[in-house]
Amino acid sequence: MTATTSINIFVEAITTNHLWLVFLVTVSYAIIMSWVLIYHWRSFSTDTKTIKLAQVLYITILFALLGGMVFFISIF
Amino acid sequence: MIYLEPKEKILLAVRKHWFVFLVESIGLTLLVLLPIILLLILGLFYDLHLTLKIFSIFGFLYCGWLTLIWIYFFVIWTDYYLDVWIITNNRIIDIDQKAIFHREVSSFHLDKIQDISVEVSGLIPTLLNFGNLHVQTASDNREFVIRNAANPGVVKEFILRQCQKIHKISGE
Repeated sequence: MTATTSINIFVEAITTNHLWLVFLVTVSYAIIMSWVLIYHWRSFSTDTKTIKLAQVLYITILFALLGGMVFFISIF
Repeated sequence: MIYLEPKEKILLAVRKHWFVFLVESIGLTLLVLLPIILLLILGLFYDLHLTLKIFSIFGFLYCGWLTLIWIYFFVIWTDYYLDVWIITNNRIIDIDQKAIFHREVSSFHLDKIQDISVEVSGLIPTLLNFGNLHVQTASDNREFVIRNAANPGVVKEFILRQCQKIHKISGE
């Protein structure tokens, strides 16, 4: 069995449910870490301007990446 | 949360130089490129037919990978950003964010400062002007150090001026 055949067998075994499960785990981790980070920024920062910018940038890109995951599940 | 005494104002916040943060986050750049490099290497040795299924799985996993790296990037940034010396009109508050759930806060009054020294060592610190600031206090000969601070000479002069103001007021 060649490596290409092995990869194809592996790929065929993956279903949408598997991808949704991985997505769910990623989102759960992202929610927990986001809460931790935002808590730290709001509690311990002295510069509200920088923190607001950091929050906006962080959440925007995070949503874009999670949205990307959903997009790839949709075309799977 | 930083608790200030009555009539205490924050005058300056001293952080590590941005170059320190850049060095810490350079490894993440390599991690971002790693899956693509692996795919290219696999493509050299094996005949990969990029079907829609394989493309979508790779894209999905790569987005997940980037999500984890993005979060970790901000963990590093938080560690860098919350590591700060707050200089008030009364004291210096040393906030050391050792890890995400490990934070040490200590403070010392400006009138307890005995000596301040600056240490800039190396080509890049000299060119970019960052280094260590050592502050010796009267209490048990304790030394406070802020490492890789930006513009340490300027910070030293600023602290000395504040100390002189304190001594002037207490002398009156």
